[in-house]
Amino acid sequence: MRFADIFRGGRRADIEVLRARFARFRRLLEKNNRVLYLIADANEKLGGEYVFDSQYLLSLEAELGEAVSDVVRDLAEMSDNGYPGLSSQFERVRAMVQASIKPHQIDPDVPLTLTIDELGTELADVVGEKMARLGEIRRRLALRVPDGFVITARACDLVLARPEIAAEFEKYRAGSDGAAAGLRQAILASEPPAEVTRAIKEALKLFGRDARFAVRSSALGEDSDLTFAGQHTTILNVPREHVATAWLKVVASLFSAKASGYRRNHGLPAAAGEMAVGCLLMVPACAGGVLYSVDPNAPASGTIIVSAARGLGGIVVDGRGFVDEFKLSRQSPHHVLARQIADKKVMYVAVPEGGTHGAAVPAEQRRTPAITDETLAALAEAALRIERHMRCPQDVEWAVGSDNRLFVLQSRPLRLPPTAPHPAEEVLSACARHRVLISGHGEVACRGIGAGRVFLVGPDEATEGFLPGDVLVTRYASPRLAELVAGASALVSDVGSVTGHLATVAREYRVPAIVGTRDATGLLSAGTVVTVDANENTVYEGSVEELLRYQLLRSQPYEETQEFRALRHMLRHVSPLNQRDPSSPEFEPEHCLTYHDIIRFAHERALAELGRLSDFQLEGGGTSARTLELDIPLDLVLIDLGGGIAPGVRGRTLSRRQVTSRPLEILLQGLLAPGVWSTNPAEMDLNGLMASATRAGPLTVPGGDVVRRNVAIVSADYLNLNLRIGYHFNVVDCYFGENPEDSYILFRFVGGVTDVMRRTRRARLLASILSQLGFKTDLSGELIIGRLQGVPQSLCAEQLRMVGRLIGFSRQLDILLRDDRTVDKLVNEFLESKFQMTLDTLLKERDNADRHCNDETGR
Amino acid sequence: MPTGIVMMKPDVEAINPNYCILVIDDEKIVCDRLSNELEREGFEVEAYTESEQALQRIASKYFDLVITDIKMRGPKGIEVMNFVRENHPSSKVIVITGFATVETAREVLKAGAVDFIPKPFKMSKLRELVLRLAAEKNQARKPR
Repeated sequence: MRFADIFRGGRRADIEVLRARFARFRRLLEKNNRVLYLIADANEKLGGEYVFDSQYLLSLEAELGEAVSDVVRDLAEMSDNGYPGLSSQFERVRAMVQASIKPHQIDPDVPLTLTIDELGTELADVVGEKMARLGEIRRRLALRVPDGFVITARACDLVLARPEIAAEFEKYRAGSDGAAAGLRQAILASEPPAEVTRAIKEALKLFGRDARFAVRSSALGEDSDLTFAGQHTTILNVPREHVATAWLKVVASLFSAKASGYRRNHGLPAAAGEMAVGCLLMVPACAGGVLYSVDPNAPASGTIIVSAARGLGGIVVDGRGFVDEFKLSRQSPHHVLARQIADKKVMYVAVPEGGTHGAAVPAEQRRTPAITDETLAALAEAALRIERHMRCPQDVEWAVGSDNRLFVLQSRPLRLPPTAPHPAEEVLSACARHRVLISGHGEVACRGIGAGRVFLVGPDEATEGFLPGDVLVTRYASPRLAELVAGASALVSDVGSVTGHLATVAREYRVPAIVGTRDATGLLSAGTVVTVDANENTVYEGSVEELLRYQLLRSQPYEETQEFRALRHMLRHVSPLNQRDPSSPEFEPEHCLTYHDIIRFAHERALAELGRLSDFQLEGGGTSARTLELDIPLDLVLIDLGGGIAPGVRGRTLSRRQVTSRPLEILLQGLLAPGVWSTNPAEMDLNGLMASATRAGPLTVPGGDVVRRNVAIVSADYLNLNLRIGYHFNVVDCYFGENPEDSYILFRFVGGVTDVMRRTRRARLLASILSQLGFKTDLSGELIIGRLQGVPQSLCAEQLRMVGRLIGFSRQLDILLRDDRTVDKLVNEFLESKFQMTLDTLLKERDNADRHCNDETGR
Repeated sequence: MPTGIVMMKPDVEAINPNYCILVIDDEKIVCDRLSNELEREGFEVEAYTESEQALQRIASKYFDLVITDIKMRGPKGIEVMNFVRENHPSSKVIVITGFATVETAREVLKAGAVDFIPKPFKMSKLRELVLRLAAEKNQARKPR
């Protein structure tokens, strides 16, 4: 049953149905907020300040599942089960969330191979930390990483599941003596599973016939709390036809005596068979090596350490000498502070038939630096970018290609001695030296410290010119900016709340964020450098190096423990927001891949369902309908859902004093403000009349709603208004929620009989005013839709009053929009509330012009 | 002022090594996190995932502070508290638990716990509490 049917006949019981639906809407909002809160809270737990255990994961999963399920059910009830696909999609996502917190569980839908461009840290649980990070560096930081692909841990599972290997694996897990060697032998003696070989073949199609690969281990948990550095096998310069066997060798190295011993020494359980393998194109390197973004022996010294060899960098990690050592400043432009150039007699080179060998360095190159100062500076810049993104000191393996450009081959957290100094005084006095630009204005959405150049998001959310590492400063925390947040060093918004969608994205990427500052876009100038301390809700002028370093050295490598991985894995199905644009054809239940998508979809559709409350023909009015008596001829009928009109009102009419709906009262304040509702009849000139003659027939609002009477459906905090004034149709749907994310105004305007030019000008004028009021505005033909959302109630109220004025103002527009010049003039003067004056001026101008025209023709 | 700096101002290096802490939690992640973080503050820390083993250790060694979970395999947190009270009345106990109810809180505080911290908790909260207890102990030690 549609609302239109409910209201036919206007029975009292039908109003009750409507009220029940409104109550469901409120409940949906409440649950929606609960889910956003839980996501926010869980992401904060990932930030590292918290101690939690597996019990937390279980209760989080249960509570999230229940709340999202409530949201889905409430939407179903509001819409008469209008989105059947959503509950089945919810069940699918829920199954994945539940599976994700079971240890050692790899989803069976994980592909056997993924290209490097598909990787990011959120996939660490299937591609290993090493490859996940490389993907992140390439995709999100746009640094050069060799092309390649990864063979996921699911492929490793397939090997271990083969009958002849499964038996050995069981023995190994039971801890039998010598079982590791037996297992390794069994793996090496086996053929790669056909399914995996096929997947590898498919992945290799992207590469040329002569492609050679570095086949590297990327075990799950490797490079994490313990580095496993050098414990697993890496095979260099592998021809494509040998990739599958090289993969199997790397998988087998998981059970090598070396790796098993390492696990035993560190008190780790036997390997659970979680090995992903990266296959990256070999870089024909003229130099390579390792960089530490912080000197482990002097963490507070502000220096970077680089080792560089000629040829392939492997010689550096193998510790065989023939390596140059450099110390650089962490401060841009990264001057070389010290250098030690070795006599590099030997370098590793790739051999045409596969593999590498040591070769003599040409005499003239032996005592010259393996890498230029310019390349060193570029390398330092890249490493600090990775460090900023990963939020801890980095150990980077790099290479310089034959084109003299840098490649990042690997980057992992750098372990520092456990008791780093606490330079409290140094940090405090450094902070005191920098001017405080903002302090305590908003709310911290994601803790942390970031510094960079201010990038101000332009009107209409224009984002050209944004560079990774910039501090993103925006008026609204719009979900459309999600793409940029990932690359930003910090986020600051004037408007927005910690449970907003963008704040959630910031936490997902661990970007320090302060939202709801009210005035950051005014206080922070584009292009200047600032430091955002989202621990203390403060923004400093310039880059406070000491503060940044302090945070860096405090960071802890706890994130790769089982529980953190499980939580991260779980949030992968919970927190990312793919459904960003409601106007996209993909905005459908089947494209909701996470809980966040599901609640965003449901929220959006619930608003639309609510907007349809007046989608009916009111015949007879019903006992709850009353006419509002006003000084202007509005002929407005009110239907109260609860608290919208004063208690005890009897009869069929009511006065403005008896309206207790806040949104309606505020809109009326705007509409009835002195001078807004001009008493001059909106007369039409000849053009207007001609146009109207050609536009006879029923007046239908695009979307199919037929508007025949002015109706307001109200509650204490809600207004749904359908207003026809002359030839203009206005629809206002507005809710004032306690949570800033809940309040919204939706304004639709259509119609008005006049010629095409004037219609275009009018559309431009209204859209321009709405955008300047902060509305997201869409124009489609004659339909203008403005939407304001995610702002505090007070701002919402202010703008609703302006919408009231705009409705009154637009009534007079058609006769005035003679030229484009008038449009800009009217926009400005409307916003300065001088439009009555403008109206008079323009009317006078028109009369003068007409007179002038008559004079001309009379001459 | 950056978070966490002020509370680290006391000269922790001087007092903490003499302050011994025992951590008991059947989840390894909690033991690892707490020992890591508290060792960084200079404390001497031992951690056990088996409460039975922990009790044996308490029987043979004095700890200034015992941080224990409530729900565990083997002896429960309350038993640990009683055991500590009997063996070392001057040891302090902090209870951490993922099953926080008002009843449990009341019970453990009545049994003499210094504090009751529901999991998940902020490390800074625990760190602050431990630093305060260590400082108090140090004050008491000083000749007046």
